[in-house]
Amino acid sequence: MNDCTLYELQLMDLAAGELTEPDLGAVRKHLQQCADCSAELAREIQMRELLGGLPAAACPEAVTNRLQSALPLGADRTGNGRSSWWPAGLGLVAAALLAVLLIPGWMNRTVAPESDLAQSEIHEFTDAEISQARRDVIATLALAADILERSREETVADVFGARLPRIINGSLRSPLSDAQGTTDNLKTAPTGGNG
Amino acid sequence: MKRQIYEELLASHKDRIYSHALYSLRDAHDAEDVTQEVFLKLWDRYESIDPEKVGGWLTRVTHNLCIDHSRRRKAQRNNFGHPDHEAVDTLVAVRGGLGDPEQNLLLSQRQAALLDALETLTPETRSVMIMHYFQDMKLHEIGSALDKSVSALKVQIHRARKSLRLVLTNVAETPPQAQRGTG
Repeated sequence: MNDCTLYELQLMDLAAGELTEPDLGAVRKHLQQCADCSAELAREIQMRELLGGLPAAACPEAVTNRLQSALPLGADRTGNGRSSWWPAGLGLVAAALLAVLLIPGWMNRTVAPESDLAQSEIHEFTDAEISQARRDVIATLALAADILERSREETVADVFGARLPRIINGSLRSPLSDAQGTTDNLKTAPTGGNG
Repeated sequence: MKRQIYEELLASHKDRIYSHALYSLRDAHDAEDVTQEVFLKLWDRYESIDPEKVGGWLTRVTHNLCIDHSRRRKAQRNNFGHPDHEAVDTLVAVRGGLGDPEQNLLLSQRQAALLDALETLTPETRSVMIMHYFQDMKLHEIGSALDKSVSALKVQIHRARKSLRLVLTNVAETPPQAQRGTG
């Protein structure tokens, strides 16, 4: 049995074709005389066939996509990539797009007297105001595209600078904002002539 | 670190890492988590890794994360049920159109039975078995990645094979029909 203990550990090398002389001859000779070690060798070969024959699995594309989107868009950032600002930047862009979607409908509505806004004066927007609003929407979309593009190379401060407060507090400001404070939640910075 | 280098490493190692995790954990969701975690760690720590040893580093991190996930899963199992074997079982069962269908079926059943049996091993040993037999890594390569000696690995694998002796004998001797429902 002691002999077997010595040879058993060499069976892996034998099955892998990595056993060389003089060990190879000695193991072969032992195998001719030892049924237990022959059975062990058969199991080793079987293990190789079964596990070695498992089909390779392809990493799902979703994993690759998640990894790539989790990294900073900047090409050569060093340090901790996940602390990048870009998710926050995307959040702001999403907020801008949300504003783009909501504001036109909001500006076109007529405020019903029985609504919560009954105390304020009903305001019908003029064609000029609506056209201005549309221009603001287009400008906001352009800004969003610019932010995404510049986010590849620059920091939050570089990209946004003083522009965000001006855009939100200026161009997108509604004539109803003073009366209702409807856009107060959009005023994210104190700079830029709040009404 | 250049993103391009990272993406090249991702492209060349992702399937190997995912397969290692998939067969070690036998759960596609866990394997995805591990793969993702491995490559996020690679991004974070690339500057401190010897470029010539990235493959071994990835192997070691995958191995360690698989062990962590296995332990965590074992702790959760009482509360949240068992891992989802479906993806692995399907992968093993569905083979290409080459070869004798009956032989393919037999091989699939034996492999599934062996994967079941591997779950009786410790996560660490199971991962080593996957590296050696499935990924065809030499013992010195595994030893280098895991900082273990070749002889220690030989003993570990030898003991594992012995503990699987009964399963290996059964799958070798049992006809395919009788094996249905094994596990």
